[in-house]
Amino acid sequence: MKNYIKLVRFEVDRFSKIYGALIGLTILLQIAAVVSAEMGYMKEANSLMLEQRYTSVQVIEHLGKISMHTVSYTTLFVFSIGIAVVSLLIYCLFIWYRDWFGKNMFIYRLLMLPLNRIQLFFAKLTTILLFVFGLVAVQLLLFPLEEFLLRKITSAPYFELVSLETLSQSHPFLSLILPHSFSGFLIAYGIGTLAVIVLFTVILFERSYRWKGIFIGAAYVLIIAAILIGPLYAPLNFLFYQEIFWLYLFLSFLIGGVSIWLSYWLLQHKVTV
Amino acid sequence: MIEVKNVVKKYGRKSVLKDVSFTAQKGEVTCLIGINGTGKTTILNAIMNLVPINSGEILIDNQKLSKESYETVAFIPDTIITMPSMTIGQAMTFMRDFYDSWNQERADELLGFFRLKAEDKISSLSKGNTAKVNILLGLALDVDYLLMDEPFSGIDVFSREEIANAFTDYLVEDKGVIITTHEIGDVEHLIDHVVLIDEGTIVKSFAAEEAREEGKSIVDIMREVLVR
Amino acid sequence: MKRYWKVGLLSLIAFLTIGWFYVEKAVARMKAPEYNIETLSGDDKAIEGLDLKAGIVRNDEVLSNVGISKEGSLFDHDLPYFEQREGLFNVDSSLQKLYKEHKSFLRGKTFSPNQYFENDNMYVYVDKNRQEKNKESTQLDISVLEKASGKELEYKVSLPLKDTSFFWIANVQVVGKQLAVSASSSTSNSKTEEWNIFYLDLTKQETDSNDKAALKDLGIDVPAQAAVYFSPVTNFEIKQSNDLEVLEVHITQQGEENEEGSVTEEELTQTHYIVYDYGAKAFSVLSLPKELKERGAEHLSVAEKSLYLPMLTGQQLTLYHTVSASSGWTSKTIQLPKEVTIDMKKAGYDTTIKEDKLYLISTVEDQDTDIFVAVIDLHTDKVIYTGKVNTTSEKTSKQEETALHLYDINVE
Repeated sequence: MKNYIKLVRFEVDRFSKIYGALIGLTILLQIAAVVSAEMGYMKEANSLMLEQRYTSVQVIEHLGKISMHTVSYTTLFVFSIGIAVVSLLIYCLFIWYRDWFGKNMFIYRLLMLPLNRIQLFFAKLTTILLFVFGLVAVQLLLFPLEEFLLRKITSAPYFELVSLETLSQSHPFLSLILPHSFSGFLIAYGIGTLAVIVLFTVILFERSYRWKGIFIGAAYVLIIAAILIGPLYAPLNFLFYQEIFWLYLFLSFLIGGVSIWLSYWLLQHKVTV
Repeated sequence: MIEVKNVVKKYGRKSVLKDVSFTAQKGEVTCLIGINGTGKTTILNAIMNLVPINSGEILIDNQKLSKESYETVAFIPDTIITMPSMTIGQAMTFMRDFYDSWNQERADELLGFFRLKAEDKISSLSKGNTAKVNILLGLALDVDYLLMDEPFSGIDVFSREEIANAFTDYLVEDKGVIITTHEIGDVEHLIDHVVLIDEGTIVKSFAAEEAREEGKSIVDIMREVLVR
Repeated sequence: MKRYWKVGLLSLIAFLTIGWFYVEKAVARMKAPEYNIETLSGDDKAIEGLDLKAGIVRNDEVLSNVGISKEGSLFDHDLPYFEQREGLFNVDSSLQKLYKEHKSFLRGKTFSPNQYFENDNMYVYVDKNRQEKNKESTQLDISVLEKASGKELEYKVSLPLKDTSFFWIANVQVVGKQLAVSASSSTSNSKTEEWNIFYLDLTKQETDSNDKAALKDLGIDVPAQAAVYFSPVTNFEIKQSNDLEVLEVHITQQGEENEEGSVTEEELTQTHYIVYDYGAKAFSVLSLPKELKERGAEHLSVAEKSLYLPMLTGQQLTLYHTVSASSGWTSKTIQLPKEVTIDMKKAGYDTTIKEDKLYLISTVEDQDTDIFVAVIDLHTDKVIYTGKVNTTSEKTSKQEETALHLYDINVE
């Protein structure tokens, strides 16, 4: 356990600078999204007032009010979330491959640490999850600040309050990263964790068998996909939601368990420097 | 004692190690010699479980390699195995964090001996100094066995001398050492046992003392066997 | 320990922030506004069994669903997790009961109330056989659950319909000893729909007879290139046998291919109403009162052999009534009390008739308007109850602008 915590600390420290930059970029992009949304809205409102002689009430009737809902659909805002998600997805690969490639073969050192090698797997997995939750937390903390900023820079009659709670119910991205209910959160991040575990296993297949490993990994993913899609081909409505839930929970634990066991075996017996 | 028994290693259809067997005793320096690509590095990697073997068995003090073995066997490979973003000091702290066998006192001593600075970044070091860091991190572990892969390759003559000196000064008598090298001249006087490998097969295994008694150098014997 | 500050800080922030977000949500849910129906006049016995289904809406997005009755409010998220996920909140109460008491009967079945029928003795479920590949006939799978014994019986009946590509069951009910299935269908080579009432004999597992809505025979002219679509106006309920079934018939001109090769949209050319009488086993054309010709049969209610068409103008409710399609409409006006003010532009209203009571309810509650409930006794034509949906939450400027939209009225 002590070694596992040390490894997590080590992995977090390794990526902390890039991660910090990623957070900084997210903050900058989202603040820019707030300002640009407000400017775009006011520009349109002003032109309606000047050219069409609209009153502010008519402008609101025509355009609606500006809120964080408006901001959250701007390209900048969506891009800020997209870039964070893509970065972390790439990091899921990088977190392993960086130890093999380059002038320095750090994998020698990692594999020769006096600990069970599966701890490397868990430490890297934990690190990814911490980074994901860290970014979710940043989004949560950032939102009220952005709302405050929008309220400050928008003339009162045009501003409308929309909470993150409301927004996270229907927004295509926010509802994914911040599901409406805690059970939804557990399900979404459970699936995400399972996907990372499977990806790590595929990476270890490749690191153990190289080219052949890519095909083995692809076959492994296909088998998992077949296991997960299989129940959907059951006769329509045959299973109740509750049964589907337990079935998928069982399948997830099965896939997760098998993947971890395979990773353990590969790290212990097959992985090569 | 490290026992390598009937080890076979294949990369695809190509056999790199063909039924290799030898032992390395504690308190002895065993030298694996042979021309490039004969499988010397693969043997060391296999002992450390860094490449899987196809068949055969490797035992360390009659036990298969386990996580605990990494506290008793240290490996100094031919490549840089520290993170370039670390300073030498951070790399030493990393080792201290994970290894109970880490000897901080010796590490500090070696740092002075190699004239390295703890605050220097690994990425900024010359090839010779990087090799010294590799050796420092290996030698500062209080282990029973030490495996070294080409410790002198590509290193200038002055650094080579320093490294060779370090071996004499810091290798305590009861340690078992397996070394692979081309530059046999630098360490010839330390070697107790020689294992000559060619194309993945052991072609001769002999005590260095025997060669010395016959008035031959290890290179002479190597030449005799391989040219024949 | 100093070296752990980054990982420590990251874990702490992530855990506390995400934790706080969901804890706050849970607390907010516990404090969610309660709704009730406040009596303005009359005896609240009149709204016994009335359940208003509404959605809390912000910018056309439904945030949550709520059922409001005399007893108070029940949110969708108040249901047990799995029932919530199964979508039971908006499901008919008969189906909810079935789910709780005879779940195995529901296996493999849809939650579409149209396909169920319930009486004192049994539940019936009808569905098109999905495995069947026979082009010559359409087969129905029928499941019956006997309430007393809990026994489940399965039947298969072939319908005299060939090559159906679309088949939709609108209503199922027991008529005498037969099972009547009212359905719309079309064949794979035609968009035009046909409407049939099939009478099935379950003991023989065959179709006894079927009544087809033959528009030509009813004097409705369908041009050669036109398509016909049916949609039921009658509100079918699982527990109710209908004496009459009212259908809206749309006749559209099919789209034409223009020079650029694209097809123009279908154009609605005629709308008719037809009524099927289960007693007489016959269709007839229903003509609307001339005042309502333009508006159509919105709010039409069927109660036994009567058809009602309410129309609200200001405080005045005009109620058109007829007992058969051919006998013509009578009308009467009922004055709503002053306390019931329905903003027709913003809110509109919805009605339903049950056991000689007409329930008239406005549909939107927000900053400017309320949801009002009025119950009218159809024997005396008197308003016997008025009420208003109240919320416990106080509106402040710091709160989001949400509205309550009524979408269904259920009366048990």
